[in-house]
Amino acid sequence: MSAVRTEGLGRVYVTAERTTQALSDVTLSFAEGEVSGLLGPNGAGKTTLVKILSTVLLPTAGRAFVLGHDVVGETAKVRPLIGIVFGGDRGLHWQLTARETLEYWAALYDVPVREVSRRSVSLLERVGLAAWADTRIENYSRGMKQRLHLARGLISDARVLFLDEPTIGMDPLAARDFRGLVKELKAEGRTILLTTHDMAEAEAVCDRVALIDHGRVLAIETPASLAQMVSAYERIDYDHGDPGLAVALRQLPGIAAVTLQDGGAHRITMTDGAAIQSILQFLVGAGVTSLRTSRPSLEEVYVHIIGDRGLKV
Amino acid sequence: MRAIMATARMQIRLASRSIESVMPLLVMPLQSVVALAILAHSGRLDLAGYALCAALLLTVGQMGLFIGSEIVAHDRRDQILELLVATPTPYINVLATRTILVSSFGLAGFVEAWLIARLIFGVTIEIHHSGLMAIALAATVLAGGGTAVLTSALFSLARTTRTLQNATNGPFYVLGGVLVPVSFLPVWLQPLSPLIFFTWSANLVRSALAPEPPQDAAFQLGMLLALGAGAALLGVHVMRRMLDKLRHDGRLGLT
Repeated sequence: MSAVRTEGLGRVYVTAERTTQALSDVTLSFAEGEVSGLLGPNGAGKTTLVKILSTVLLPTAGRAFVLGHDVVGETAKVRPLIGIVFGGDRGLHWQLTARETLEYWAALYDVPVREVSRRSVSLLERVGLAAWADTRIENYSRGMKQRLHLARGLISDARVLFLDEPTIGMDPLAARDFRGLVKELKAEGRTILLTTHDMAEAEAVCDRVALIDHGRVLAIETPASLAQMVSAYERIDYDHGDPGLAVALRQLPGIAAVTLQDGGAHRITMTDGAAIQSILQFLVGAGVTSLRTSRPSLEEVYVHIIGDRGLKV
Repeated sequence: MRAIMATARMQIRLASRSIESVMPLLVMPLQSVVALAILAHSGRLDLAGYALCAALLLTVGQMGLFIGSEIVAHDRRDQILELLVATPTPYINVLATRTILVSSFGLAGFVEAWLIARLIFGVTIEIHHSGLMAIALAATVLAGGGTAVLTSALFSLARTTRTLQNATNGPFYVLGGVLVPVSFLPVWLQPLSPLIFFTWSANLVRSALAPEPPQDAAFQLGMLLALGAGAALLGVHVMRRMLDKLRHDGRLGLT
């Protein structure tokens, strides 16, 4: 059974000023135990999708199911099964401490009384807030609030987790710890759907990634499969000061392009994977001592498919 | 029940750590001093019980109409409403617990006014029917909390509720006979007074303070509870409709 499934899901926002198609005919399915990522630019529809799945927003078309339950018609069955984390530093009672916050939300999720204290302590340790457990949230930094959001989302021990920008505001080390946490949660058999702008994060933790833009799903693949949408073969990056080498390389069979990268390195893109050996031999023979092979990163895939829009929304 | 108890604990913590959430209790001593000083100046401290009654209803009313009515609006502003709605606990349980508790904090206004009369003006306001007073106070809190469920639901769509609160606050007190006896109101307004729970609460409190045996206390108590329950039931209905609308419009949380 799919943990998360949508069929022709659509959502239109209507205001006095404009009508916005936030989601359009979204059909997807994520299996139980899978970590899935939603990638897309601002306004792509990622948060809208997560909110519909979380039962806090009604779709205007189609249907969505969590562990087989309709998120519109069976909210009472869906809500105990899901944990949600929405990004940002709001969503908390800032007069409470972290421990009080977790105890409160545990009661709302009907976590067994004997479990609450143990689970709260464990989660606060897990997100690095144990030393701040009894400090009021008003004294927390943004990143600390985000960690508490994460702990709050996990307090119900939910089978399906929706994480909307879970690492926003976190420092790089905390974000790295978060990735470790996601892997632990996956090992426990939980299904996780996260939205993110962090390509490295998506690449590191997601089994599959859905690229969304203008409310439509453009692709759902593993990060490696998505990479093949940009280039079917590995690329070779090399450092060499002679521009004539690039000209000579372009004459070789199996090479699509040789381009100068930011930072001065050159990148060779191939049309034939079998050519790699001869190209490497050519480079070594030309005196190149610094070279590496790589697959396209998820960020490259993102720019390739979504397009580079700069600051445009 | 656990969710209700946890919500009550949470509300007590919020109130004890945020001066804004108990502001009416902090202002009430000043209002009581002024009211009792006027009575003392005019040689009518025998009417101190009326000031006590007004203090009770003003604080219960203000706690409910000002603090309680802002609960949903604040939950939306702080983007907590979405998270609450997504839990297995019905949001109306959370809201009703909080409004009733907030209204109960208003009972402190009664104690404040009693102490001010005693300590500053040397007047001991005697409660002749303490049982009736206890029932009247409990029923007033329930009615105030129930009414706050309704007003909180009605104000939930507003980005700022203060203007609405200021506009609706005064008429409640006037029609309820809190500020002046209902008999002083224009005749055409007086039929509206029985629809305001303050009217019945004031009657009960004044009966409990008076030495004479209470008249029609059971009827007055019934009216008070019926109005509170009616407002609460209407509030539950309105809140459900509002939540559906906010979920439909995508406006459970304000950005």
